[in-house]
Parts: sequence; structure tokens; C-alpha cells
Amino acid sequence: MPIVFKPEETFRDDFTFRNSPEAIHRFPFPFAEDSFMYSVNIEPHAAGPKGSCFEFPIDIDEHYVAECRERAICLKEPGRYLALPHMMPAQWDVLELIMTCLARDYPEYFGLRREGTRWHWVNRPLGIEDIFTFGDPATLPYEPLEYVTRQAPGDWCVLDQRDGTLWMDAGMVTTQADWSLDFDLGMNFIEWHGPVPLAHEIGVFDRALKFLLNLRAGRPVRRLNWTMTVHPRLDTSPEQYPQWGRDRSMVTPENAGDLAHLRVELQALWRLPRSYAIVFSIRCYLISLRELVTVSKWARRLHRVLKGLHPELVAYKGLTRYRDTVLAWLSKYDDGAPTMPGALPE
Amino acid sequence: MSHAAIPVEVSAVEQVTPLIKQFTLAPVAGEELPPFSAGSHVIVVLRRKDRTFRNPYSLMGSRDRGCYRIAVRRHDDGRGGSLYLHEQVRGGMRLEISPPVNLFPLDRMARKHILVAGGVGITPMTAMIDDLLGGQVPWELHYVVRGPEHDHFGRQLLERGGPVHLYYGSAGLDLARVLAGQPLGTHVYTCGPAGMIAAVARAARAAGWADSHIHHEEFAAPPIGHAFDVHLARSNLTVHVPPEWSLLEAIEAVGVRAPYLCRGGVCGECETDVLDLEGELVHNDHWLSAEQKAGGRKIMPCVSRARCTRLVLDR
Amino acid sequence: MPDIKSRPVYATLQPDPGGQRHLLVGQGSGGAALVRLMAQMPPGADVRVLCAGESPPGLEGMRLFPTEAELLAELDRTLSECVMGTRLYVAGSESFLGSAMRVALKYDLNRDEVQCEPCGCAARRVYCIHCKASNEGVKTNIVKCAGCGRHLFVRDHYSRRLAAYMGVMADAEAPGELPAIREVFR
Repeated sequence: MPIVFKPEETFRDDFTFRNSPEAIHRFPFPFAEDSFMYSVNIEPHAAGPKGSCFEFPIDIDEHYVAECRERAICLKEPGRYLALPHMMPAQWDVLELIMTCLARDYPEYFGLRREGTRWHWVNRPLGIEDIFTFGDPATLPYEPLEYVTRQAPGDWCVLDQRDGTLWMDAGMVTTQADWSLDFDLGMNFIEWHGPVPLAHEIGVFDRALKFLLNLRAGRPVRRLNWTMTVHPRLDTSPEQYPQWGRDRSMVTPENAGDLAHLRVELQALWRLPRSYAIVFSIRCYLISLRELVTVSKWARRLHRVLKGLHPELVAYKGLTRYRDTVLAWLSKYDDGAPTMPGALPE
Repeated sequence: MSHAAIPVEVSAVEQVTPLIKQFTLAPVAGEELPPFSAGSHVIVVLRRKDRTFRNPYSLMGSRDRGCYRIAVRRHDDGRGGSLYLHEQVRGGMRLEISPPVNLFPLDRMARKHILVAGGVGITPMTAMIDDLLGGQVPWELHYVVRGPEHDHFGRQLLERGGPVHLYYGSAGLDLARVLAGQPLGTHVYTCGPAGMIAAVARAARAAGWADSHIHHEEFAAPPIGHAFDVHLARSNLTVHVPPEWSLLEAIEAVGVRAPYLCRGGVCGECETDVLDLEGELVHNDHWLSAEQKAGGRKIMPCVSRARCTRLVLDR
Repeated sequence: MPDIKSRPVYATLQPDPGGQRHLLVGQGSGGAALVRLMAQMPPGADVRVLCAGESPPGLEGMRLFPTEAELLAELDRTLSECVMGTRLYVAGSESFLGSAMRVALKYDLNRDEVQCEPCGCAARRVYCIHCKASNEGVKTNIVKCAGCGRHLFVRDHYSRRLAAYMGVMADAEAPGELPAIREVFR
């Protein structure tokens, strides 16, 4: 079924982003139960049901073109794309991964023809066509990682594996939930997760790191992360906080349904072949409360999750100012009925 | 297999030294074998009539894209895997391998690399040299072989150029001199017999090198030991482990799938809970802490064994 | 003292018997730590001392530099000539430790080759995540950024690459509403 792209959609200023009914239905709602706490919720990144956002390893949806335009705006500021010098082999690995996935899974939109190291890449939705030499950065208009991630949805972090841990040594980060690549570049796994409350104490990161160090080629994994955002704003970086921080004070009982968004990150991790690095993709899906409550199970569940959320998580996820308003708005949709476990709409 | 197995065909077998055979593994059905990082190994599945071996072999450097090359040293008093390869495996035969895994990579922050190899331990270094030749980071290779009849890989590397030093016998290799005066940020990598690995580590430490700069390809073949029986609680099966079989292999032979990755006692993947023990565990791994080894509640079945009258595992 | 996972592990300097050559670097009140360390070094140990500060320790063979910047430049030059087997010991303010570590990182000195002991003032270098300016010697929980004028909340998140703590706009959500400004880093 062809995707109806909405290239004029915006994630800033007038915020014209909206989800079609299909996009709502395939939204990766993250809560299988009525409460939430951090866990090592890693599972194989295996093919999900047809039409779902898990069907393919990299998901292209109706927002793709608009997201790429939004990324290009963010990249006018420095520090949103960074790569340390020793990561060039990993850059090529990521370029190969993204191009081969997109060309294989969306042949109507992407094409990749390879004759030895001469590669011919076509990206129809973005109107891009380039011939380049795989392995020679001079034959691309940007470094390989920047070139390919300007055309791939979500953020991409490339982690070097050395000295018994993982190091965040390159990345394209423009759709983050309040962390800075510029600041975290060069940190190791435990360091960049430093600010997350509670999770360290329950051993989540030690176990996750041990698992990831043994991540093997051909067996990618995924997990979901979530927070909330006011307006469908993708760029909620610390850098831009002076611009978006104010939004948190703007949520009212009247506008909560339209302004408050559930923000879910579909995170996937792949082992890369030439560099033995790991690429960590963080793909954002946004849904307004008004859109979300059209699925009654999700309405009840989100209300209950937010109501019972640990106070440290409320603060860490930036919800303090508007959580009560959101809870009041959602409570209209929670009749207290028991809700089936699992995240899929009933 | 515990990973996605890749079918391969043996496309060439070459006796390159009196003790070493080189096998070229080609993809089946046209698709190229995946690229790999220098230092990687694959697990090769060898199905003999009476038992299956799963042995790790380092991938050699190769300009022949799409094929892998491994080199196997013959061990007459080993467990039989290398003998099977030497005596039974011929061109045209099909084998299964795991995707490449790397427990012995070059450190990307290093300002210089010193490679030390003995005998068949040269294999991962040939791939490392692919990366290092023509690059910006200085390096050296010091390669010890028994004598001129064993220097096939050494001569090949000398021909490729670069700072390669070949020694007949280890007496000529002065480790103290090699390691002295190296710039900050130098890393040393050893692949060879256990004695060589220990000698390099000793010499490096004596020169004041910190452990984070000393690397070796650590996994060894599972040691041969006494036979023993083990009961698998979840599967409700009792298994006999003969002397030349590893505990992991015995578990696999009865159809129980246990997780594994390196099969050499270093990566932690096969960690198994011990539910009951009368006797003692024989830990041969480099994964469990001293406390864990003393505690007797965990075992690494890929290399470790037991001397016991009763052993129950959570499998 | 909050447990900050992104910060390096600091410790009281101890002679490392595994090292062949010892490079001691001190700034400000770090000199006292170096004096203590020197006394513990085995006789005949190959030791070099570089210092900067108002009251430098009177250590024999010590080289004194008038400013921190010159000390760091000399550290860089010295490390470029050092060989494997060297151990680096740094004592001084946390900001100085961070600056010295940045130099050490260039030479791939790892955590088992460097020790850092914070001495004296715990004032922080704060990196404004908005305008990228570095604010030195910050003792308070909120600081007015010298680069962009915003009031920054000084977070506990530390970057070794930048040798600084993160500063984020403190009143972005409600302009003008600032928490009480207190001296916290002494």
C-alpha cells in the first residue's frame, strides 16, 4: 500500500504535524501494563505484523519527508552531527546498513545498485540520486554517516566497543528527548546514562551493557522508551531548551488534548561488520492525547501509568509542570474498567 | 546453532606448512560472505559421524572479497577437531559457520600497534595488517615460527611490505627491546601459545605498561579432563561428559540448546547456574570472578568441567 | 556528595609500583598532595614534577610555570616525548584535573595510567549548552553565562571531552522564576 507522504508537515512554529488514522493505529504504544518502571526491555528486532511500525527494521511512514526537512533545519546549527576521527569505518557500515534496508524493504521509494565499490543510490521521496565510491568519502557531498542519516528517520548513535564498554563516538542527533550529543560525545555507556534516576540502582545498565557487548551480527535488538512533549516538537534538545522549555507552562485544561503528546522512541541496535561497532537508532513517534484517546485502551492505560509514575521519573521526564493538567484531561477517558495486558489496541 | 548459521563450501585446501592447512570457505548460492573486522573469528561446525565439533578459528586477511580463509594447526593429541579438518575435510565439502565475532579487535584510540604472533597465531594478524598497511597509525609485527619450513605466512607478509620481523625460534625475539621506548598510546597484541602470551604480558608489565594496553587472543580449546555425569534439571536429562568433550558439547549432543558465543571461556554468554554439586567444579574460564568461582553456584560449560559424584545444572 | 556517574573516579594519589617513570603535575593547592606523594615514592624512582600556582611546593627538580595554561602546554610537550611505562599523577582543582585529562586523552593514557586528586576549590567549569561558552570557577548552583547572559542551572552531568559540567537555562519553563542562588561548590 503506498505511503501518502505529507512533506509540508512541520514540527516547529505552526506545528502542522498530525497523524492519519492509519498512523494512529500503528503507533508503538509502549505500555503493556497499567504501571511503568525501567527494565532491560530488550527483545529481538524481528519482523512484526504487516503494516506495523515493526514490520521492517527501518520504518518509513507518512512523516518521512517532513522529518528529513526538519532535520536539515536543525543541522544549520553546529553540534547536531559529530563524528570522532576513528569512526570512519563505522560510518561506512551504517551507510551500508541503512541503504540496503531501505532499498530492500521499500523498493518503490529507494534503489541501490552496486558494482564493486561503485554504488548508485536513489531516494525518490527526497529527490536524491547519487553515484559514489564506497569507502571514499570524497565522492559524497557529506561524510558517509551524515549523508545517509540526513535521509533516515530518527537519531543514529554509533558506539565504539573497546576497553570492556561502549563509547558514543559519532552520531546524528536532532530528534532527541533532552540530551546533547555535543556534551555526551566521547562518553561511555555508564557515563552517558548518568542522569537517569533509579535505573542504575536496580542494575539495569550493567545488565544491558553486558548484553550489548555480546551483540552479534545478524541479530539486531530493539526496545521502547517514552516521555511526553508539548507540541509535536521533534527537536527537544538541551541546546534549544530556551525555545521549547516555555511550552511546558502552556498546557491548559482546554488545550491539553492538542498540545500534550506521548513521545515514544523505538530504539534499535545493530552490530556492524567492518568496525565491530554498534549503531543505535532512536526513532521518535509522536501522538497527541486527542489522537491517542481514540483508542480507548490506550486512554485508560496512559492515565493510569502517569498517575502511578514514580516522582523521580516524573521529574526526570520533565512532566512536573503539566502532569496534573494532563491527568485531569485523561481522567475523562478512564472509566476504571480493567484493561487487557499488552500494548496493542483491543 | 546459537546464531544465524552461514552455509559455506570449502573451495580450496592448501597444506601451507607441515603442521598447518589453510581452508578457503566460499559462500553457497552466490551471496558474498559478510565483511568482518580484523581479529574476528567464526565458529566452524564439524560433523564427524560420532560427534560434532564447534571450533573457533580466526579469519585471515583477504583481498578475495566474499570468501573467508582460516588456517588450522594439526593437534595429534587434541580433542580431534583439527584432525578431522586435516584428514577428512576436502574441497567441495559443505560446512556451517557462525557470523564473525570479534573478541580481539585493534584499539581504535591507539597511537601505535605492536603485533606478536607465534605459529598459527598469525591468522588474526594477517587481517589486522590489512587495516594497518597504508594507514596513519604506526605498527610492527613480530612473528615467531619454528623454522624455515614453517614460514609460509611470514614470507607472504614480508612480501607485502611494512615493518614485519620474522624469527626462527623465539630466542631471537627480544621482547624487552621490542617493547622499550614505545610512545604513549602503544598497544601490544599477542596471539600464539600460552607461553608466548604470558611472556609478552610479563615483559610489558616489567617495562611498566598498564594492562589496558596489553591484549591477547585468549580463547583456548576446552581442556581435556576427567569424565563426569551431569543432570540437566529443566530438561530432565542426565548426560555423560567424556574426557575430550566439553560440558557444552555434551549438553548440545542431547539436543539441549544452551546459549554460547565464543566457546573459549571469555565472553560470559554460556554462564549457567549450578543447582546442586557433590564434588568440585574445575573452572577453566576467564569470565567468572574469583568469588563466583569459589562460590560454586556458576559454571562456564564451554571450557569448565567437574570432578564430582553429582552435578545438577539449570538447563 | 552526589554519586555522579559521568564524573571520573578521583582518589588520593598513591605511587604506582607498576610504572617505570612518574610524571607529577600540580596546580594551586595540589602542591601539597604532590609533596605527600613524593615522600611515598621509592628512592631512586624516575620522577618529574611540573607545577603552577601561588605557593608551589619546594620539591627538588620541580619545574614551575607562571600560569595554568603554560603548565598544560608543557604537559602536552612532555607527554609527546614520554614512553610507555609512564604514570601521570595530577593534583589541583577539579577544573584543572579536567584540563589535564584532556591533554592525557590525546596520548591514549588510560585510567590505569592516570590518577587524579581534587584539591582546594571545588568550583566548577560550566559549559553553556546553548551558546557553548565555558564559565570558569563557578561556585553557585545558578550562574549567569558569560557568553549569552542566560541564567544556567549547574547540572551534575560531566563531560571529560569538554572537561566541564553542563549548564542549562534555569528559567526556560517560567522566565524570571529562578531558584534561590546558593554557593554549593567550595
